[in-house]
Amino acid sequence: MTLTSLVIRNITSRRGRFVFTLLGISIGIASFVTFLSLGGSLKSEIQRESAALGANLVVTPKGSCAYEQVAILTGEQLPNTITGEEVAKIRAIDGMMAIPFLSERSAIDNRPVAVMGILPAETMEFKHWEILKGDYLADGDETGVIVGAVAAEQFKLQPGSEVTIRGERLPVRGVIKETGGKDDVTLFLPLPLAQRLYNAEDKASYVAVRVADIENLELYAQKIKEVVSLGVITDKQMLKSVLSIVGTVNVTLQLIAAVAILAAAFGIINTMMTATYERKREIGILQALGARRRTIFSIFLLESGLYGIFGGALGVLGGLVFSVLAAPQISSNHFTAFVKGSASSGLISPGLVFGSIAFSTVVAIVAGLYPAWRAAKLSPVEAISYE
Amino acid sequence: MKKYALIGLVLAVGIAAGVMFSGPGEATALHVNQVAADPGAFSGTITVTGITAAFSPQDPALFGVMDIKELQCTTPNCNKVLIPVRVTGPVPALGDEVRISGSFVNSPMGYVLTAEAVKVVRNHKLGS
Amino acid sequence: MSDTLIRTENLTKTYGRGGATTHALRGVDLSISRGSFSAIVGPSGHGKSTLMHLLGALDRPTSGAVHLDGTDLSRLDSAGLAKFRGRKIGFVFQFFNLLRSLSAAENIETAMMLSGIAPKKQAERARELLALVGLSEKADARPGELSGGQQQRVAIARALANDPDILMMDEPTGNLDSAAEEEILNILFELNQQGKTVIVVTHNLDIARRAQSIIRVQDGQIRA
Repeated sequence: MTLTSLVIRNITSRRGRFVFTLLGISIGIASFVTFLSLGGSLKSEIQRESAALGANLVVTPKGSCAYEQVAILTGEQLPNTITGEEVAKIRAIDGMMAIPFLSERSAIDNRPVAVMGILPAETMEFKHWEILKGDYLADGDETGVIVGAVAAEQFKLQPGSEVTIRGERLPVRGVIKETGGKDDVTLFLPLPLAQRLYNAEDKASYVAVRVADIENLELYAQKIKEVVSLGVITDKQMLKSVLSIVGTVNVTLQLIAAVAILAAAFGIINTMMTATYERKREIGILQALGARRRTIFSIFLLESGLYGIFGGALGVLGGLVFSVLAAPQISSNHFTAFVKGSASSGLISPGLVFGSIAFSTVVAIVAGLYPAWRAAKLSPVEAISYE
Repeated sequence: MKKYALIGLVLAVGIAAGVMFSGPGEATALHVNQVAADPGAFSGTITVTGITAAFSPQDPALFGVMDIKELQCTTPNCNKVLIPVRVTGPVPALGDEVRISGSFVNSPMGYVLTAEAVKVVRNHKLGS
Repeated sequence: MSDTLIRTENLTKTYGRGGATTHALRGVDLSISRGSFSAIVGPSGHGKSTLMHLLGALDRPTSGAVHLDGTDLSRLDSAGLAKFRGRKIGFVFQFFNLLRSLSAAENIETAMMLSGIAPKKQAERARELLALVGLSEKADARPGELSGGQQQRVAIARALANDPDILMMDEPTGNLDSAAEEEILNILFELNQQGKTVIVVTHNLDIARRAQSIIRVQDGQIRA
């Protein structure tokens, strides 16, 4: 007989109560897990993508809506209406480095991939990629492709492999080291090649600009607007407008999860308070046997904790199953665009699992503090005399 | 009690694993914006979901679908990319969200999604 | 002095405040010798149980002192009292003695767990004690599966778990039929023979008659 086995027996010998309280916590944690795996990390992911862009300013077609700005960060299909002439004008401005991007799409094995036309040398300066295998695109390389780490793994690409884009077979020159962002699932081509393949001669989807002097960001934005009639937004503005679209659904999920967990916590408090009341006599017996206040406190707190652990484990399972089943249903939304990699594998991480169980345990223990304190406060006589 | 709990746990893990490894499968369809740029890269039968946005004046069996996300775009400048779809049966109504199962066939006017089956999921009112 | 195991000085216990005070015990002085079999008798509600609670360190007096085996209980904090109880005293109450979610053996083991005895040793000793009270075959039975008499026997076995000097019983046979009662009393006298100090609170004069010394409590005071 140990303290733990005593507690476990206490919990399991009252099946009905055990099951219902456990379910309460499981549902709470399941919503929490669903929220996390579907959209909880959204804000940080968006911020990361924005940083990966490497730009302080982004030039977009005039009048483009926030939706299209989201597409810049998610790597989705973008219209390509910025002309080469406009790009040249922007690049002519002093004190800033501007590079155009052509954002397109293709597919390998019937699975869509993002394709980006880039200026190799300059993009490397912006993004500071590291080459994992093979070589980077050399200046003047007109046919080569470099691929992101995850895409390479998914489609088994390595230096020397071939990909077919818009009907043309192109050699893979190298693989970029994993960045943790959407670049990992993108194929990069030299801009002229991409423009030719996609019938977008001399066009670009957007221009990323890095300025020498961040203090005067507005000034540069102004200069750009003077030479071209295009939309210019700072990376902060873009972040804000993207978050405003994506953020609202996130808040709803957060709210649901928070409410569910709160309900679960109260469920535990209720169960433990009832337990304290019902088991007064038993508490008295234990005290007569020599249990100190501290021991009684530990027994009750341990019970809450175990509810937290079991409920957490069950909730994580339920949440993961639910999010795997539900995720495709909400794909008409921007969320899954941010979940990199293939649909299911990106959702489950050991960190998420252990973190959620730990969180559940903490919530349960906090909820159990008051009831445990009340139980321990009983004097032996009070408890014994209760029948 | 312990026995049932164990069985329940194993079942749950089994279901989860099954779902996980078999992938979402049916539920994921491709979106218009994912296929429009390079339709030739797709072979065989695929499922595409989109919004019916236009009809061909010349060919009554041809209609255009745009990506579902375009519904959120309200500025006139939005470049709505459409892919042409050919059906043998009736064409859906304007604004119908459809799941099309078919394959891309190259034609003089470009790749056309030749539909084997078109399922109307719901209708959206197209504003603007 | 070493013959006296328990000694009280002017023990007083008062409940309530203001107008509704109850004087459960008023200035009780008594002493109980080591190895004796004492019965605390008296009409219901006159303070018998209160006295036992105070003697057994389950409660604190309003004033006065209890000296148990040389220790002044008022000097101990609640943790100290708990420890004392666990080591020195074995309790048996009238009913609901056992933890309902545990088996007979586990109930006994719990008592040992609380005084820090290792699980392995617990199992061994629990079996010994169950054999002592003649319930070896009921080791895994839950209290719900045991008769009243059997439950009390398990309670006694549990009370003996930490080899206490004193056994305190509050109406241990109150709920039992005469056959079961006889069994219990035999065990108690047997234990007393082996050197345990036994204190039984009872309103049953038959038991009282068989005890070595009788402590009569009436209106919160000792009557000769």
